[in-house]
Amino acid sequence: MEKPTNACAGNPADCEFAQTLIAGAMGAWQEETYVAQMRAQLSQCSPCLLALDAEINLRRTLQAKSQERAPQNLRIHISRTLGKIRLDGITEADL
Amino acid sequence: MGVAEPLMDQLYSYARRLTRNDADAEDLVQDTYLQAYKGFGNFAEDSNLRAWMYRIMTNAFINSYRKSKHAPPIADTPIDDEISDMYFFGRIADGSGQPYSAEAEFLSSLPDFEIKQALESIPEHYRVPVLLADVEGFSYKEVADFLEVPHGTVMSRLHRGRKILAQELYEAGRRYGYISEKPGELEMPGEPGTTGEQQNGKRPKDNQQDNRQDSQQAAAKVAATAGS
Repeated sequence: MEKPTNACAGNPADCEFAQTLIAGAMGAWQEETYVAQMRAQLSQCSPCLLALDAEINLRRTLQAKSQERAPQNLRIHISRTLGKIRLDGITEADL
Repeated sequence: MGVAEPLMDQLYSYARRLTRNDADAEDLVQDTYLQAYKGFGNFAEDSNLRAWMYRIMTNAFINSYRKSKHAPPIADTPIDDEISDMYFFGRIADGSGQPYSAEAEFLSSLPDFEIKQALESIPEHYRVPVLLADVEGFSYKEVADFLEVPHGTVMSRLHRGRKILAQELYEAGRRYGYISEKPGELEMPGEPGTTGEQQNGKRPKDNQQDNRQDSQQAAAKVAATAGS
């Protein structure tokens, strides 16, 4: 993707390039390399960079606040269930 | 268990958001580990174990759990097409000088159960790609592979799912007084402002129905403001 020929005049909402780029990047927001590439492409426009960081930050928050801890009885139950299964060449410790 | 054990909390969280109830979530996690164990011989060591486990869970959910009687019904949320595809980007970028960090701060201030409830309020068709891409961080290509649908279908479902999520979060923000009546402004916790609870003595949950229509209208106004 080409870099923008002109900045977004301070408002990323008006910047079609930034919106397209950021929306495209959001599917891999945990991949540091990919996000670094996006940051490089938006490097000429600080409002767009801010918007990219905000979108990533929002997803981090969503992820953090929707975390659950698996119940201990579930862990035990799964471990016991897998322990009873016999597969050729595979042990419970493989998984 | 070995290398997959550290994934259990992540998988349980995903399962809980998918099934929307504890019993089915536990069954789904167990099924996923059982299938993974039985199919481990087909797993290439240089492959991504996390992606492989999520794929198994997604398929198990679609094939066996999506019509569970345990899951509460989902309200038919009308989708506001004026809301930006990117659910917060653009919403407050209206030239008012509001920092983008305000959005994250607003989300951070909401109780966890409101975030979870907002995610679970998305109909399953749209919820699965939103969870995979926006919460779990898989690439659009991986999501398309998991769901065995074209890339464009993933994007379309994300587009709709994000709008519904935006509306639900927006409503939650209004109930807690983090979003003011004036479109485009966020009120951070601790700042002067009235919450729904303070306004009428109702608990935030009680105001949900009252606020639904108002918040959709407000969200549309904010989106329109942002785009102007």
